[in-house]
Amino acid sequence: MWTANSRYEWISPRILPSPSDIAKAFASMIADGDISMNLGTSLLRVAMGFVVGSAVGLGLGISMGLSQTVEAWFGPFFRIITQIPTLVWIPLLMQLLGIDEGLKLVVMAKACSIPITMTTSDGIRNIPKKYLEVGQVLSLPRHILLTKIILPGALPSIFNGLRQGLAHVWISLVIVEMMASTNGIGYLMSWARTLFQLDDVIVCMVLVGAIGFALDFTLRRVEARFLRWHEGAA
Amino acid sequence: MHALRSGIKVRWQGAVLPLLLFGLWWLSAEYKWISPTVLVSPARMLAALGDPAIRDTLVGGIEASAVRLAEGAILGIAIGVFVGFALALSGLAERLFGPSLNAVRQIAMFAWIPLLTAWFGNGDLGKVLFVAFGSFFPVAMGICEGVKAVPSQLKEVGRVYCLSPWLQFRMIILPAATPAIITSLQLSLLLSWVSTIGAEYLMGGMAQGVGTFVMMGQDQVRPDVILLGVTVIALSGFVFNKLVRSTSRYLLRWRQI
Repeated sequence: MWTANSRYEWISPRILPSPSDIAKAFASMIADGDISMNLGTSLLRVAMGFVVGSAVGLGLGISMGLSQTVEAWFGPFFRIITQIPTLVWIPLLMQLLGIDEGLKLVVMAKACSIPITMTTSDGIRNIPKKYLEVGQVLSLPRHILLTKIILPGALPSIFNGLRQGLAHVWISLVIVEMMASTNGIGYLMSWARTLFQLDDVIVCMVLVGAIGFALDFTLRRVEARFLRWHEGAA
Repeated sequence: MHALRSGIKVRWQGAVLPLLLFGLWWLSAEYKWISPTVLVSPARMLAALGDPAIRDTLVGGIEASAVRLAEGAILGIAIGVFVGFALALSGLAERLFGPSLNAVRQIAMFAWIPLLTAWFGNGDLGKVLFVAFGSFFPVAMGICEGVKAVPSQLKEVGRVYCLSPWLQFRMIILPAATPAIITSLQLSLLLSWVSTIGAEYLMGGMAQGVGTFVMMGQDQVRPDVILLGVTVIALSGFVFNKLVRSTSRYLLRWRQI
């Protein structure tokens, strides 16, 4: 229908470019380096945001899961923060941090660490009591208890959180780049919109979708690799 | 008694961090550790409400956003309910539209904004359609999965009693899928709130709205306006979230977990 429409020009091609226009736009955007440059910037940001965010998320999640005290001090505030989507904070953070890399990093890290913190602390708290008792009966030292029983037990929910976190990093980065940036895929998209080059806009949208899918797919492969033992145990 | 006491203790400790941050905010603004073009104190933020022009814009903006949210959510949910049931009940509909819906869903919602503004402008129409778009997917997908997950034993009962297709739907499928339907409605309402704010942040335009209020503050370098707007949005989000969740818990109270 889309192809037929563009052949007969029911809707002006300025409004809805034909698939072949989009393919051409894609080719030319690759040729002049628009895509590789901006996408490279974006992916680098994603990597940084994910590393920082998951470090914060894992740290906070593990300590909140293990320690009643940490949970009591940070838990309630954390749960209030999670109720309000990252998007809302962006103007405030822009005010405090400007529109540089710092802003992107904070937004991504925040978006990423929240699901990870939640699933990690829940995962640790939901480990069956009997596993912990085995550890106590064997009077294992604390660090062995942690690495041999608690972390493996919580690993499935930790991975769940990592996948959600990575998805959030990607989405929030696209949003920040659309709102406040001078490069990256989100910027490329809103700039193309300003120039009314909708073929370029659609190329960017497809890329955003494809990369989101690819990121999730990669992490799912990693998860399958790490959790192979889990299928048999469960 | 012990539980009560520990409940109070937990609340006391949980309040320390937010109060500390609030105090830090106040102090850093009061003693100008951070430039007043960047951050103002809570008192100055509230003082902005004294300006009738700002107050009117804010109140009008809240109304406009609420209307937008309602219009978008009703439109999106209505279409979503229809599509969800159609996909689940008709193999033909599923084969025709299932794959394209799944492909569209892969693209993050906010990536649609540039295209939507190009098609429908950055006025009310574009924003309402975006909200509808955001609230459509959770309902459609949730209902489709919920209806498909109805145990086949239950459906067989309907066939054994030779119920008409409408009665099978009304008496068996609908009640069995209700929890999934309510959960998907909850998700979709929460998402429609986020997309209302997102649309107002990202689409710009002259229309009123809470998000537009914040953007206006940004254009005019009015940190008090930005802070006020973000605070109002955050509070409204918190209340909306609580409201939606407790309603859905109330509706699902008959279900044993």
